[in-house]
Amino acid sequence: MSDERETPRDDAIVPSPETPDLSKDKSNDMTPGMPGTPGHSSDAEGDSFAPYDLDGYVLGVSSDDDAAQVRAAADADPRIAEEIRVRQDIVAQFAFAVPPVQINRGRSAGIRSRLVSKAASAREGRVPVSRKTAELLRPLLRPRDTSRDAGRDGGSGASSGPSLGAPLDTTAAAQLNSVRRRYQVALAAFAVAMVMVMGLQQMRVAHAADGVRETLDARDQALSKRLDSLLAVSAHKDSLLASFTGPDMKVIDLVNYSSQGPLARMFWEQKAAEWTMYAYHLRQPKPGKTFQVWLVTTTAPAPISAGTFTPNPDGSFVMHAKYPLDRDALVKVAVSEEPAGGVPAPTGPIIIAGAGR
Amino acid sequence: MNPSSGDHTYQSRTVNGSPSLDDAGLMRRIADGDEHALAALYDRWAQPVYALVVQVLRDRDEAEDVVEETFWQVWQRASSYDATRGAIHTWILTIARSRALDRLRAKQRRKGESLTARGDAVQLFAESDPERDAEGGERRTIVVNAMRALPEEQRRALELAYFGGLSQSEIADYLRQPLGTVKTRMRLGMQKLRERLAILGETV
Repeated sequence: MSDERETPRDDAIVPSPETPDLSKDKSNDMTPGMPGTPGHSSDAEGDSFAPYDLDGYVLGVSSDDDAAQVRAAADADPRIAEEIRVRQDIVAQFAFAVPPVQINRGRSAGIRSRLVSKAASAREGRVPVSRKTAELLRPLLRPRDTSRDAGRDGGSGASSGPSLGAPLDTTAAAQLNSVRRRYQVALAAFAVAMVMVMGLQQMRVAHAADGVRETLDARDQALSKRLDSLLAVSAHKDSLLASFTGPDMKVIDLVNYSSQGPLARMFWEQKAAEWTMYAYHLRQPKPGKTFQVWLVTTTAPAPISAGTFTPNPDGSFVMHAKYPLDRDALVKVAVSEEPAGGVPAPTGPIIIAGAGR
Repeated sequence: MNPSSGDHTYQSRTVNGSPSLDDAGLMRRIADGDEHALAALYDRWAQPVYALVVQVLRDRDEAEDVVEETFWQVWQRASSYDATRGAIHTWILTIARSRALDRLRAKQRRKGESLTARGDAVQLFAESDPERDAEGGERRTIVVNAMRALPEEQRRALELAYFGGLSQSEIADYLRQPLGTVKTRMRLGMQKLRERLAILGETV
């Protein structure tokens, strides 16, 4: 016996057309198949059905072999076919044993509406349309002039005009077909136009998107450069900070005692031979002049030039220089005003100066 | 059987201006291509169909799909419906159960659900709840009481078959009983139900 089963058949319960139609027995309006009704079988009759698995069959859970056996028996014996129908009615009662579950009203209405729409479409042999589309088309499918139609129909004047799903007379159907054809052409033209407009719109959007993308790329590159620069500055400042706070740092203050104006502070990182001077409140050099930094040492017979500079408009300036020098060789640091481009030895007035020891 | 004359509160609506029709009248109209008759039949039977399908599938969204499929099938096959095959609502509920079981089995195959899980999921009458059992009206009370009055092994076999769609062989495996025992339990259960549901033949 096969383990295979079949889905309960909803159309082959009683295969024999010769089976008595119990539902036509008007002498008894009881449920066919219930005890006391014409469909009821006595225990003695039930025994004759024992070789067949009628219950598995009506429940749709018997094996293919058993089901085939039952069908063959029902074909051969109307009593078996009748018994199957009786048991089918009993099984149908099982459906009423389930707890009541309310279907959502809105969604149920949607199902109902779709069914009616599909059924109407199927009846008319046309493609189903959605409810929204049907509502949109409804005004266009009404007759052009009901009063004129009424006169042609003999002056009844009571016609409300055809509507979707309602029966149509020949004239109205012809009008409806004509209107429908015209509307279909217009609809097709409109659809083509819409497709073209949408295509153009998409091209414009794509073009605009390309422009935006290029702008963003350029901005991204600029920001990347700016970021690199800031990172370099930050790294340099980190390095300076580390050196300023390191053990090899010598700090020299440069002042001008004759006034309270200019001053500077020189950081000499002796190990790295790096010089950094921060100057404030410097005046601008006179026309054709520049400021020049001098290192006075014990090892050189004359002051050593450490570079020239022109202060910022606010009088500040930061100067970096790299010059190796023995730890104890520095005697003095000075800034003088010299001819533009600098000179080999100081000639102008000292602006600020500080002792190196 | 007319649900509006029983304990279910289904509406008998006027179809195309004619007095309300019974199921057979609606079926004739449907066979003639009257979609409003289909709507009327839907109004009358959608609720019990839905409740049955929810019980089988345990998924309300899928159940709604099955309800729609069921009534669409009613529309498509109305002209071939043979009244001698039984009551119309029996036919509709049988279609609904078939569609629901098809979906259930497909889903179980996809998920690779075990037989144990499938059997355990069917527990309609596991616990008695008089208050809950009374919901749904007199017909349901009668059927539920008849089911509960069955010996557990007979009720379980019928329950697994009808609501779970398990074949007799699967039920035998699940219950760890011989196939013949399962068939006997079904037969005995059906005999008892036949006696206990007799009252429906008098009240409905």
